[in-house]
Amino acid sequence: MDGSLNSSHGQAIIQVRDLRKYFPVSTQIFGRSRRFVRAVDGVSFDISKQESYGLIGESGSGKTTLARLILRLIEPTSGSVYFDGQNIYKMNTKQMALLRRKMQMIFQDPLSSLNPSKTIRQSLEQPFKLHTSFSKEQIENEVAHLLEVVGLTPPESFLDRFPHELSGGQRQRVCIARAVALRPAFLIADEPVSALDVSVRAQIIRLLRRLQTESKMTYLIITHDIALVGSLCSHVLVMYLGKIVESGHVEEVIRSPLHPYTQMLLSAVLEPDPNIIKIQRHVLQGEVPSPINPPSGCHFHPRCPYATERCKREPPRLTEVDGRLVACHLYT
Amino acid sequence: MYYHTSRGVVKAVDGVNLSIRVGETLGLVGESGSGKTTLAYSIVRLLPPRARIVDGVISFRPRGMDQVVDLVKLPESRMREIRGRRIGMIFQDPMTFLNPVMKVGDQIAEGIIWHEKCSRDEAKERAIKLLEEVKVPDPSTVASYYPHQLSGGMRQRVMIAISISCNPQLLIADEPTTALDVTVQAQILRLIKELQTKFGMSLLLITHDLAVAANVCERVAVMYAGKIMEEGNIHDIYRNPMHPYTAAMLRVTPRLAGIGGSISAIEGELPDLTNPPSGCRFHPRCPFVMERCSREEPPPGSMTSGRRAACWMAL
Repeated sequence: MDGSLNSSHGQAIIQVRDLRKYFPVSTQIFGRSRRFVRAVDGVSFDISKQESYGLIGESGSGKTTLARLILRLIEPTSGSVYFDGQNIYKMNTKQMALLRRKMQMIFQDPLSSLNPSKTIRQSLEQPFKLHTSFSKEQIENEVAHLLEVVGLTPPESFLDRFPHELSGGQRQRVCIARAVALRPAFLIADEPVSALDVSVRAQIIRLLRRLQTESKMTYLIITHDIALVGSLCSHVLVMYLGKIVESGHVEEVIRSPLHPYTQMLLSAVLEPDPNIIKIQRHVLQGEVPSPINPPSGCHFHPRCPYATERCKREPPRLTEVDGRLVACHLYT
Repeated sequence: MYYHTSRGVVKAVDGVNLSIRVGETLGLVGESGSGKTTLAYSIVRLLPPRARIVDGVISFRPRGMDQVVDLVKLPESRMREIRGRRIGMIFQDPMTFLNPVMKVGDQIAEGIIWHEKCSRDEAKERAIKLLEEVKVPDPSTVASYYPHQLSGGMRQRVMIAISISCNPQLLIADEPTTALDVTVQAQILRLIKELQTKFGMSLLLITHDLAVAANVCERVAVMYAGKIMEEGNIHDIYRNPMHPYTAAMLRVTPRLAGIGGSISAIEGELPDLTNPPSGCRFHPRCPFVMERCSREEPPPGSMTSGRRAACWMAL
C-alpha cells in the first residue's frame, strides 16, 4: 500500500513516493555525523487535482520539511516527488524554473516574507517580470486586478504603501495575491492564519476558499490547527515524527479518528462552549519525543493508551481501513 | 494607562474597571491591541518606561493585612515584596523569561531566597518539591538542567513552579499556552487549574482564545481597543452574548462540530489606537451599528445579575 488510495477520485497532481529527509546532527567538528534527525521518514501519498489537503501534526512532526521537499526548496535524502507525472528531483534548472510558476507557497508570517523596502506594487510586479513577457501596462492591470481579487480595494490606495503600513491581515492578503499571481496549479500554505487575530482569521480562510473554487487550484495546507483543516480541506494527512499515521476524508477522520494519535490531537482541541471542558481529560499525556532518537517500533507507543508489546517492536505499516489509511497495529 | 509613542499617545487601557475575588478565575479575552496585556502588566507595574498610568487605582489586599494597598502609588521597594511573592506571573514565552545560563533549580530557588530569606539548601529542596508539584518527571535531575535542555512544555512547567514558589494570592497568566502544541496546551491548562484550586489562588488568565477561557474561567471580561465590551459569567456569555463583538468572537472561534460549514467573519480591521474610532470603538465593524454609535460612546454598563455590556443595544 503506497498511499495511492486518494487518486481514485481524480488525477493526481502530486505523487510522493517513499520520501526521506535526514538532517545530520553535528557531533564533532571534523568527521562524519552518525546521528540524524529523521524529519521525513518514508512518506508516500498522492494529492488529487483541485482538492484541498490538510497536513496536521505537532511541532517537530516534519510537516514543514515535507512541504519544502515537495517544492524542492531542499533536496531529499531519498525518494521522489512527481508533479504531473514528472519527477521534480530529476529536473534541470530550466525545467525547475517553469515548474516554479505552477507551485507557489504562502508562509506563516507575512511580514517576514515581504520585502520591507519594496512597495506593494513592486512586490506584486515581480512574478510577472520574472516569468512573463507582459508589457508595463499589462502588468499594471494584472497587479490592480490581483489586489481586487484578494479584497484590497480600491487598489490605488494600497499600491504605493509599504508592508509596515498594512495590518497583519492585509499583509497576508498581499502574500496570497503574490502567490496566485501566475495562476499556479498547486499552492502550499504553511500555517497561513496562525499569526493573525481571530477576527481577521476567518476573512483569510474565506478568501482562500473562494480562490480555490474560482481558480481550481490544488491546496496543501500545513497547520497544527485541526479546525482550520476542517473549514478549508477535503482530505487530511496526520503526521507524527516524520511519518504519516492516518489519512482520509476530513469529515470521516474528524468524526471518527482511527489512529490513537489522531484521537489524542482531536481530544485536545478546545471548544468555546463552557459545557465542553476538555482540559480535564486524562488521555492527554506526554510530549513529542526527540526525532533524533525516536522510540522503537511505533513512534507513538510511549504516549499511546493502547500500546502492546508488538507496538514497541514492530513499526506499523500504513494500511487501508474503512476507506482510509492508518498506521496502527490495532487495525491489523 | 497611556503609552507615549512617536505617533502620539496610545490609550492602551482606557477607563477600565475590574475586580477579582479571592479564589476566583477571571479570563481577560481580547485580540492584539485590545489592552489585555497592558492591563495585566499595570497590576504588577512591569510596564515599559514610555508607558504611564495616567489615572486610576489598583487595590490589592495582601494576605494577613486588614488594609488595602493601592498598587499604583506603592513605592517600588514595597512593590517588590508583592511582585513575585503575593502576585505570581506566568508569561507566554518561557524561553525569554528564563535565564539561559542558569540551572532551572537555581532559578526557582532564587526567588524563594529573595522573598523568604531562607538558606540556599532549603530553597533548593523546595525547588525540587515545586518541580514535583508541576508534574515534571524526575525533578531532581531536571533541577540541574539548563532551559535549552527542556521542551517547550517543560519550560512552561518550570515557569509555573517559579510563579507559585512563594505561594501567591493572585496568579497572572499571560497567554500561558499560546506558544505550545495543542496536546501540551491542555496539559498546562489543567495543571494551572489544579494548582489554583489546591493553593486557593485567584487567577487572572489573559488570552486571545475564547476556547481557552471557556475551559478554565468562571467569569470573563472581553476587551476591544482598550475598553471592556462585556463582562459576566462564562455560561451566560456563551448562551447569550449581549455585545455584538462578543457574539462575533463566539461565531468565529473555530469548533470541530462546524466542520465543512460556512465560515462567518468579522469584517474590517482592528482599529489604530493612536486614532481610535469615535463613539463606540467597535462601531465601524459592528453589524448592528446605529447612528448613535458613532457619535456617543456607550457607558461601561452597570452590573446587573453579574453581567454588563458596553453597548447601546444592551441598555
